[in-house]
Amino acid sequence: MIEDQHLPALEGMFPSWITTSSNGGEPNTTVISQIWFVSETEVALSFQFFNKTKKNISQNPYAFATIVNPASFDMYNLELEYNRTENDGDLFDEMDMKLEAIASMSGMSGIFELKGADIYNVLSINKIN
Amino acid sequence: MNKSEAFELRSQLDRRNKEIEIIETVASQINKTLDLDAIAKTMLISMDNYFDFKHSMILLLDQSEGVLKVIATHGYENDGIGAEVAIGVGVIGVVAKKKKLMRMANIGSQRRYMESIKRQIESNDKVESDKDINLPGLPNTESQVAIPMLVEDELIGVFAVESDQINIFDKSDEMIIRILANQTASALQNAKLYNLEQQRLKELDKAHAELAELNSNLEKKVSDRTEELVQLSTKLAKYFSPQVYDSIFSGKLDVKIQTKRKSLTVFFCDLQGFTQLTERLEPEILTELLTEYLTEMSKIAIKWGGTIDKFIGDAILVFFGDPETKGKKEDALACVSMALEMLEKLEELRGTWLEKGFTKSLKARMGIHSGFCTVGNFGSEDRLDYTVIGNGVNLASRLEGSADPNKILISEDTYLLVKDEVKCLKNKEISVKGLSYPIQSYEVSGFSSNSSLYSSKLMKSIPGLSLQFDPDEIEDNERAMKLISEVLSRLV
Repeated sequence: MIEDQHLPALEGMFPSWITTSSNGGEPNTTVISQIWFVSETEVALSFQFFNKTKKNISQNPYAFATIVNPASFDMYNLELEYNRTENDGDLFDEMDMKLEAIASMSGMSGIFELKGADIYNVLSINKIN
Repeated sequence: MNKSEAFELRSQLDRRNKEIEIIETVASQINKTLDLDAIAKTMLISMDNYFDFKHSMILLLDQSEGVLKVIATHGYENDGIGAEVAIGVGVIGVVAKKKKLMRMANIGSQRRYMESIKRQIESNDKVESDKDINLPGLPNTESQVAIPMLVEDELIGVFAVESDQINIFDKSDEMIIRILANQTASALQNAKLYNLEQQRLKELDKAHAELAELNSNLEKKVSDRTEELVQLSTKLAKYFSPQVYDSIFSGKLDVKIQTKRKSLTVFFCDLQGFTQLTERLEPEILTELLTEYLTEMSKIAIKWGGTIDKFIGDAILVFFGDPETKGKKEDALACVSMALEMLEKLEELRGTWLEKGFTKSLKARMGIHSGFCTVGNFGSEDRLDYTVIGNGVNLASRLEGSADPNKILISEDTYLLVKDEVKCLKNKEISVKGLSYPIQSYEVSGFSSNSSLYSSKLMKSIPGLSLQFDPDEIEDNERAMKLISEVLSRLV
């Protein structure tokens, strides 16, 4: 599903958009710094704060994301479904390390903490024309 | 597979082969040396030359301080050697903490994102978070690959490559950097171990040298102290009679309160008229005179083996028979011989004193007695005096007091010991306090002519006449007789 051409868009070069919906059907779109590549069928979002996205997902597991390839400016829409949250493992470590590296540079060690890596199944990926 | 795909694969394969070749070259280069700095520098320059990684640095873990220290850099305005990175801070610090590599593509925008959150937090919570951290590297770094250098899963340092361009390092760069970092890690570890061993050797050498110096210092201290003791004992020696000094310092005589009864010959001597002289003479002149007199008398006492007990002003107390004795008779004879020589010497001294202007002639009175006395260390624990006490001493003193000027008075006990060698005239009887009977005294007039101690030599000095006569030295008897006749004729 996810192919080589999509990978540059999952490096966090350009921010991504994620849209979720509450139980009552109220949508919420937010900008996030990176959607992470996990496997051909999975991506991950960092869970740092309990925010609206997190709240919506707990009620309705489906989400919609838009990513940008920084080299070609190609944009892709992804349909996602929340699968699980990882609190350890290679992916979690990679995300945690990057967060910590940047936070510590700004003197914010310990304030920013990765609570988990939220893994989503990719249901579809389509280029926006 | 079409033509262009085949070409693509072929060129990829070429590139891989080329990379492997370069890695091997670099690896063999850095393994040639055991110099940490050379290894690090060679590696960084090679990365630039072969792979176009323009900015790189190597940091080593300082175990004692728990920080990473920059040991080599390449491609920076400032070499930044020695700059520190705390574990857990920044890309490099976090890599060191987690011991996992990290590849960052857009540090700048992530930092700006973080900064904005920071400002929000600060304005909301009114808290001041830490200041921005200064880290070595490019001021506007965007892409960075940092790799922990591990040896047997222990962190020894971090290897970092960076760029001010966004998303410059891809997965294959990461792999090349990882291989080179591992090579560097093992080369550095070897060098580190080698250097550690060299340093230990040096420390061992240093410790060795220190020990040697300590030893030689110790030797010097001992010899200095010995020298001090020798000097001190030389000074002390002057306060003791040589026999006593030798006995003490050779350990034969213990310095503790201990006395014994012993048969001794005791000698007393003082200068008649000296007390009156002290009232008339300047102290300096008196000192000089007394020193000269006592020095000369001491020499003679020592020559005959006497133990100089003490000086009391102008008076001298000498005894024979302790700590060393040659036998009762020999001790007594030595004492009398000493007394006779002292008289002779005094005669000579009077001559020189006269020349110096001491018109009043000083005359000695001497007393000698042989008998049992108590000798040893008397006094308190703190102040001991090696001396002699007893009736024998009192008697010698009484004899001295009864002697005529320039005469030697001896007791009957001494007389009996020396009569074979010494000519004596029976003198008055002396009564001594504590003795119920009077003591017969004898006046010594010289050695018997049959005595081995008899000397035909003559040395006399009276005001107006000095005579030194040694028949063995006279070569022309007639001339000598003529000279004496002339003196006699002038005297009449």
